[in-house]
Order: sequence, then structure tokens, then C-alpha cells
Amino acid sequence: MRALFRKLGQIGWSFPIILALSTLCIASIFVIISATYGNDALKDAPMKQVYYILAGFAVYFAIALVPYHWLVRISPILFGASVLMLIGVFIPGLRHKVFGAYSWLDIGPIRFEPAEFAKLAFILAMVWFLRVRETRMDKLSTVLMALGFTLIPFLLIKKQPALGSAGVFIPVFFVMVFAAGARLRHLALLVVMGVFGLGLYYWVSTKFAKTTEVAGVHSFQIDRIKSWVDPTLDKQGAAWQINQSQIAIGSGGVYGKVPLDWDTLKSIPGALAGKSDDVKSWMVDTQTGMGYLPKNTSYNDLIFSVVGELFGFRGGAVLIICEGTVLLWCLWVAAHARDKTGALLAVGVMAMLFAHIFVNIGMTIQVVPITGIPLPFVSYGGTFLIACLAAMGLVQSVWVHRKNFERI
Amino acid sequence: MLDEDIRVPGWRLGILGLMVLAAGVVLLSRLWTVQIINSDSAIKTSEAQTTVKARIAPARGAICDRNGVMLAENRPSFDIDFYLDDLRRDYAQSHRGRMPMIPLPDGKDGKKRAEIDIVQIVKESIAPIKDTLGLTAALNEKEIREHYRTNRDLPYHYMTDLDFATVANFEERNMGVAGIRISQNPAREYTYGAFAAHILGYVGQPVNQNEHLASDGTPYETIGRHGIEAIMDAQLQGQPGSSFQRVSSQGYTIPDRKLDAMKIDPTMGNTLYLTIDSRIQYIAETAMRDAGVGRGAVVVMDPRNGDVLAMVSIPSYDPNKFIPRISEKDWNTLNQDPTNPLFNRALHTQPPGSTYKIMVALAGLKSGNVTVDTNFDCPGAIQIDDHLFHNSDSAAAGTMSLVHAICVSSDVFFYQYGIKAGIEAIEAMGKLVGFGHKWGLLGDADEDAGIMPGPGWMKTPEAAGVLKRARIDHWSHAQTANVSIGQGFVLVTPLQMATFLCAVANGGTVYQPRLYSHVENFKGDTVAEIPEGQVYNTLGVKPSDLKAVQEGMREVVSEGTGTRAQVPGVQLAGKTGTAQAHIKVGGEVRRDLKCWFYCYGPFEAPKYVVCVVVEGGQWGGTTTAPIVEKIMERLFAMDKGSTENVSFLQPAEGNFNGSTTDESHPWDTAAAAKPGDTVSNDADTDASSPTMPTIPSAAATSSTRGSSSKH
Repeated sequence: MRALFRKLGQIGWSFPIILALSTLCIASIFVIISATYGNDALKDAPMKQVYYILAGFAVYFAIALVPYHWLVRISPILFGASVLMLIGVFIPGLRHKVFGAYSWLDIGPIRFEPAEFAKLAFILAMVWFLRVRETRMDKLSTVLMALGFTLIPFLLIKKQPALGSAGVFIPVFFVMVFAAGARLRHLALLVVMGVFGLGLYYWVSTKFAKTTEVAGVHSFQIDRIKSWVDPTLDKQGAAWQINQSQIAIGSGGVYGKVPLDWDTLKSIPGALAGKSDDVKSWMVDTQTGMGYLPKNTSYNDLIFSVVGELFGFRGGAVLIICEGTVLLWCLWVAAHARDKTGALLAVGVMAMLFAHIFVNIGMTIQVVPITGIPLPFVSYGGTFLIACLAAMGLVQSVWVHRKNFERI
Repeated sequence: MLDEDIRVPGWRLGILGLMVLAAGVVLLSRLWTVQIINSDSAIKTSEAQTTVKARIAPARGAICDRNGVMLAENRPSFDIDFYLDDLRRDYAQSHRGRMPMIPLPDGKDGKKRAEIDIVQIVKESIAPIKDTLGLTAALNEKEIREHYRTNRDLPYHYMTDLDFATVANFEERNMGVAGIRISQNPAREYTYGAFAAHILGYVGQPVNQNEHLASDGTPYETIGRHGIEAIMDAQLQGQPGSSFQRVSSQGYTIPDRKLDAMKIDPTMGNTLYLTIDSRIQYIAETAMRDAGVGRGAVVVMDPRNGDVLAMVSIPSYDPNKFIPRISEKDWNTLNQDPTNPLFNRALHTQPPGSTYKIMVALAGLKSGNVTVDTNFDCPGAIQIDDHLFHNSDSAAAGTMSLVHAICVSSDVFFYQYGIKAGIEAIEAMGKLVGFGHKWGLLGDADEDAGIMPGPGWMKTPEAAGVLKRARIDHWSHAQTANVSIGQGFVLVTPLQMATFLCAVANGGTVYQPRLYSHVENFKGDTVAEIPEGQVYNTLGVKPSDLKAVQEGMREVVSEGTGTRAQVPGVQLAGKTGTAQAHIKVGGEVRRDLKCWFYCYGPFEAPKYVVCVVVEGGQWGGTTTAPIVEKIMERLFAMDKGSTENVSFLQPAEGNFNGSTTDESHPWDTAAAAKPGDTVSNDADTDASSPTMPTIPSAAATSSTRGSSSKH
């Protein structure tokens, strides 16, 4: 009992990070209200998000209190379960299609994205694996085995197809293997081989097949890369999203379009209750409100465009700093972890969040091509939000159970 | 194993920290570029893509008669407009960006090219409302594609002039299709149909998108194509207005007070006032129709100032047919009609025949070579330059004075009179009164100058072709004799003759004819005007000489060739004329007499000059004088207070009645007996006697556009 109170005290002492997370989550409600304005199908999304946030924090605190070693120990089971679920989305009776990809699983009353769960299970399992190979970290074989281990969820998720989501596993793999002490030249070799392999694959498939189609790659994915390089190519087509995103963000200017005054805040309860008229006054003549940001992605994948338009550079910068703070805190926790297991866990979570944050924000301002991955703590979506808060719960657990914990 | 106290090396975590910081810097700096540096252009783009500027069509100014009666005005027309870009956008939204494409010819680099099949999009978009609304009008695919390529921000008028039932139906049901709207646009309306059609002209839609741009750089909806509508187009055009609307990505409008305030109202074009009196125009129009004239013209002028009071050309057309655009069928009908209804006969030339003698008489008197008392012996025919010149009746009339010669229209008298007066004097007088000169009332392109023949004219480049065809290389007395009776090369327009007669009637002042007096803007301020009674020349004939000519013209009506023009209670002075001409109808050469009568009245204080020409009549005195009589009678009755109810007129039908292959005209009974080398003729008297065929040169020069080429 005393230990529990101690743990709670530890969590309390990490209030700055809880504050950063809460700020992001609370702001996300406001942004989701804006992004779903005029979208009748998502009328109740903001209220749902409130429940998701509450559920997410509950999971966060629950996991924070659990010693992370337990979770690492059962991680092979968790990982096996997640792989089964990823296979499950290909089973007609269980799967549920959203925007052209079979990424959802229907099990009774619960509908969720197994890929998000897989990310967590993967990180835990990777920690377990790296600790198992602890003494052989300087071997190339360890790195290659870790890669093979990574390719299991990667390929399954890519098959949905959700390349963006699958792609997240690659940086997580690199960061964790790096942190675990792999030789730099082994990692460099993998990078070179990867780049060379992809180039060769592209060259062979375009040269000999005499077509612009690359086997295994969808044409819209090629188009997204082309329009990322030059957004003026096909303004009404492939480059529509990247152009509209930058127009929305750019038109926000320094301060954004929504005055953060009492009148605006007053309308939030009404909006949560589904009364969009209150929102109208500040949404009506925004790019988001008029539907120039694609309505079906502005509340999740392109949510940073909404933030940029409504809150300006000021709001966007605060968001980036908040997210950055969360990432740096993960590293801080890693540095102060009781052991390498905790450190790797924190680093893995950091890598997973980092990949999401950098790609999601980057794609709205043409730093990376458009792909469909959400922004942690801000995008609408229950599975992902709970997964992210659960991941932060893992890091919190590492913090709570850190080395000098007993001495406090 | 798991609990061993091994740590991750600090430098590895440090590198990861740097990675996070570097990523933050990349994102923030890029955000700075997008949001601060490029902000202005993004704001501009966002404004541009959410703002639809709708053009509000300007209304054309009205055209009124001298009393303010509107002859051309505007009425509201309800149109279904397609906003093609909105349709395209809406389609893209509802079809996940899969657009129908049609292939274009391969580009220069051999690449396959394609463009969005906007017609397919339009078809699919109107499909749900098509049947309920009865939108049966065929889609002009070529035009829609062209409109989409060049002016996709402007509405495409799909159907114009909807009836109210359709409008109501549309408002009720068209909730689902963005980019299809009903708009109210001004449409031209010619109040009285074919009334004064040749003066008013007609309007049309611009042929291409660069023709005649308004101040906002967009083409006008309608452009004056002919007549007053064309030449005064700049005055009649209003300036378009514009309204701005916020539109969502699906094309729905979003209320925006800021944009509403930016609305610019269109201005109405200026109102043009004609000198035409609609009642007089109506009298002239109906008089010609009542007489069954198939081709002809009337000009009524005020001799006191040169104002044109009426100008009629038969056959005519209804300019309302051109609104909003003339159908191809109607256009072909108008253009292929051999009587040429689009052609303004009041401004195109005919040989004037004996009406010309008045000008010759004045020329002689002014020159001093002849006087009022110079008498000539008038046999049935006289020899001039190896040619035998006959009088129209070939009857000897003894010695004759000028006044009597006018009264009976003696050709033999005027052959000798003209030669004595000298062609130089005649040519000078003709030029003085404006023969061979375009008055330019409806633009130079729509008017003939005519020919004032003489040695001076012979030297002009225009004459060269005519002379060559007629194989004439020098001026001769025979030519002078021909000119003296208004034949030969002479060609005049009814307007020129009326303008000349005004000078005779008013005591010698040649006024510049005036068809429109002033232009008022929509506030009623006069912005431009043509002053009344601008003097072009004065005849310079002694009053006593002019009196004598006037007296001769009075006798024409009271006891001479024009007695059929007598109006009870009013003295008129006039002159008949019947000119020989031939036309080709359906490949067949026909005799087509140009029968003139022009007169003024009341004799003592002239108020009206009426000049009528009927093509394909019998005689000026029998065919035309009765029409003039009808016109004059109604004019004076109107002055006394009777009302003329101007009403809608159907177009006057053209015909070739009166033109004939039958050579049994009184003139020609003895033609076969005459030597073929004789030259001219002209006849007004009812006496039947032989004369000679027409000279070929007259035929060659008088070109009437289109159908009738005189032989």
C-alpha cells in the first residue's frame, strides 16, 4: 500500500509531462470540433474524443503503476496476439474497411485498429528480444534478426494497405537497435542496402516491365511522392491535399483565424453537445469550415493543417514544442531508467511517437510526402489515442520504477 | 537477465535527443516559411479559391424616338446558368476525384494528352433534374467545352427566357446540384417588332471571347451588330457589375457580409434619342405595307432642319429574332431571301430617273448658262453625238419652258437644257447637295455613296472600273444628256434625294441629315448631342430661280405627272421618276423599274419632305405617288390632331411583283423598231410610246448587295 502511494507520488512529480499531454489532448477537442464542423457523420466525434481521452488517461495511470518488467516478460505473448489480429483483418467476417484499407477489426461490440496495438506489443517484444541478445549486440546477426522480427508487422500492415502506419516500424527498429548498442557500421550497412535495394527494385520494375507501375507499390503512392516534390504538378488531383494543406496553414498567419476569447470558449460545450451553430461563427469562413481541407482527413491525418489555420504559427509552434517536450522527456526517462530494459522501452516509445509526429506534421508542410498516419494526442481516433497514452504509461512506469526509486 | 543493471550509453541517448531537436528545428523553420513568409500568397490563394466573382450583366441603354417612345428596351430574362467549375468540383467530390476524360490530339512531344470531359459532367449533373424540369434544350457541346477552356469563371447560359412555371419549379427542386443556378439577365426587346428594323439594327452575342471587352475585361453579353445598335454600341453598352460570393469547396454559397458590401452594381447604358417620330415611321411603314410594296424605301424628313422623321426599307425583319441568338434556320432564311430583308434600301442606291431633273434645273440656273426663260424646242427625238435621243413619249411638244418641262417631265427638254447648262455645273451642284457622298447616318459600311457623274468623277479611281466596263474613255454630250434625266451612271440613295429636296423646300439650305439627336445617361443628363439643323451647304440659287423650280414641282402635283399625290386641302410640290433597270431573279433577267416620287408640303410653309421609291412598279406617278399621297394625308391629319396608334409590326414580306420578263411595257412597244445604238430613256408620262433599252453602264454600277444585280 505504501508502495502504491509512493508510485502515485512519483507520477505526481512528473506533472509537467502530464500537463503537456493534457494540453495536447484538451486542445485536440477544440481542433476536432473545428475539423468536423459541417460533417454530419462526425457530429458526435468531439464528445467521443472526450471519452477516449478519459479512457486513455485511465490506461496511462494503470500502466504507470504496473512494473514494466512484467509487461516485457509477457511481451512475446502480446506480440503473438497482435500478429494474429493483424492476420485477422484479412478474414472477411472480422474485418472492416475504412477509406479503402482493411485496417479495422470487428470483434463483437469492439471495433479497433490492431496496427496500433501491434505497435505497443512490438516495442515491448523488441525490448525483450534485445535484452535476450544483450551479449551479442555487436553481431550483425542480431541486427538482422531484429530486422526480420520487424518485418512481420511491417508487411502485414503494408498489405492492408497502410504504408504510413507500417513505415513507423522501421524507425522504431533503427532507434531501438541503435540504443541497444548495435554497431554503427551494421546499421549503416542496412541503410545502404535498403536504399540500393529500393533503387534497384524501382529501376528493374520500370525498365523491364516497361511501365510506370512498380509492382507492390500503388500508383497513388507514387503520385503522392511526385506531388510532394512538385505540388504544382496536379493541383486538382494528386497534389490537392498538399496544396490545400499549405494554403490553410499559410492563411492562418502568425495568430490564426480563431480569436481565443471568451466567446469562442463559450461555444465549446454547445459544440460538444452537437450544436454546430455555435461553432459556425468562427468556422464559417475558414478553409477547413468551407471544406477546402479534405473533410475525411482533416480531423485525423491533416489535423495539423487545421491547427495551423485556426491558431496560426503561435499555435503550431506550441504544439510542436509540446510534442517535442514529450519526446525529450522519454529520453530523459531512458537516461534515468533503472536498467536497460526500461531505457529501451522509453526509447522505443519515443521512436514510435517521433515517427508519427514528424511525418504527420511534416507532410502538412511539405517536409515529407503525404501518408496516412495520425498525430499523437491530437488526431481523432480512439484506438490510436489510447495506444499513445498507454505507450506514455509505459514510459511513466519506467520513470516510477527508476533506479533511485527506493531512495526517495 | 532482465534486471541486470546495464545502462544505455549516454552518448547514444544524446544523439537521439539531438535528432529530436533537429526534427523540431526542421519543422519549425518550415512552418515559419509556410506560415509567415508565404502567408500573404496563401491568404490570396485562399481568398481566390473561396470567392466566386459573379458578373452582373449590364443592361443596354434604350433607343427612343424623338418623343421618348421606347423602340428598343430591356426586359428580364430568366436563364439557367451553369457554373462549370463548380460542377466540376462537385463532381470531383462525389466521385473521389475520378473525372471523365476525353483524349486530345497528341502533344508535340508525342505524349498522350487528355482534358476533363466537362460535357459528360454537365450531363450527369443535370440528369437528376432534367426530366422534372423539362430541360430539353440540346447541349451545345462545342460551346460548353470552349466556354470551359476560356471563361470557366463566367456562367454559361444554358437556357434563356424560361417561363415562370419552369423558374418556380426549379427554385423548388434544385437543392441538390451546386453550380446550376437561375439568374435574371436583361434581354433586348424591340417593342414594335419589325418597326424601324433597319434603323435600330440588331444585337448578337460575341463571336469569340476576346471581342469587345467591357471595363472588367470580360466580353459583353450582347453586342450591337447592325444599325444604330452597332454604330452607337459604345454609348448603349452599360458597365457590368459584379457580386462576390463565398463558396465552399462543393460550390455552396456561404453568406459573407464583407463580400456583400463589395458588390458593384451594373450600370445601364445610355439612352439614345432618334430624330425619328414613331408615329410618322408607323405611317410610312404601314403605307408601304398597305400598298403591297415588295421592295422599296421611304424617307421622311423635316425640311426646316434636316431631321429624319422616318426611314423605312421594305422588306424588313424582326430584330427580336436575334434575341438571345438567332437560330441558324432563321439566319439562313434571312440571308438567302433574294429580296434581302436585311438590306437598308433607304441608304442604298438606285438610278433616280426624272426626280434628278430638279437638281439639273437648279444647276443650270445657278450657272447662268440658262435662265428660267430659256426655252427649247422639243421634238420627239434629237440627235446628240451620233445617237438619237428620244423623249419618253417620242411625241413632239413644240417649244417648252423650264417650269412646264418639269411639270410634264420632258426628256428632250432636259437633254438640251443639261448640255447648255454644262456638265461641270451639274456635277458641282450635285456635289453641293451631297450626291456621291455618304451621310454616314448608320455607319459608312451600311450606306452607298452613289455616283455623281461628270468629268471630275471620271478622274476618280472609283470611276475607272465603271468606265472600263462601259467602254467609255471621255466625257461626251451624250453622257451629259443621260445625266440630265437621272440615268446613265447616276446613282443616288433615297436619303440623298430627300436631303436634297429639303434644300429645295426650305429655300436653299442643305442641312446635314440627322438621325439621332442626343444621348442621355441613366440620370437623364445629356452626355452627347448632335445639334439641330447643321448646315452642310447652301444652294446659292437666286430666290426667283428657286421659286420657278418650286412652281414647276407644284404643277407636277396639281396638273402634271404626279396628280395622284394630291392631298385635299394641302398644296404639295413634287416630282416623279421612273428609272429603267433590270435584275436577275433566279437566273432570269427581268425588267425592274425603280419608281420614285418625292415631294414636300405644305407648299407655302414646307414641313415634311417625303421620298418614296418602289422597285418593280409601273410609273413613279402611278405606283409611287398614291403611296406618298397616303403618307402626306395621314401626316397632315396627325398634325390636325388625329392619333396614330403605333403598334407591333410583323416584318414586311419582300417580293418581285412588278419585275417582269414581259416586254409589253408601254415604253417598249416600238423598241424593236428602234436602232440598238440609242442610249437612254426615262419616262414619267402616261403616254405610251417607244423608247430604247437601258444603257449597260447603269447596270454595271448599281450594285445592290446580295440578291439583285441589275442587268
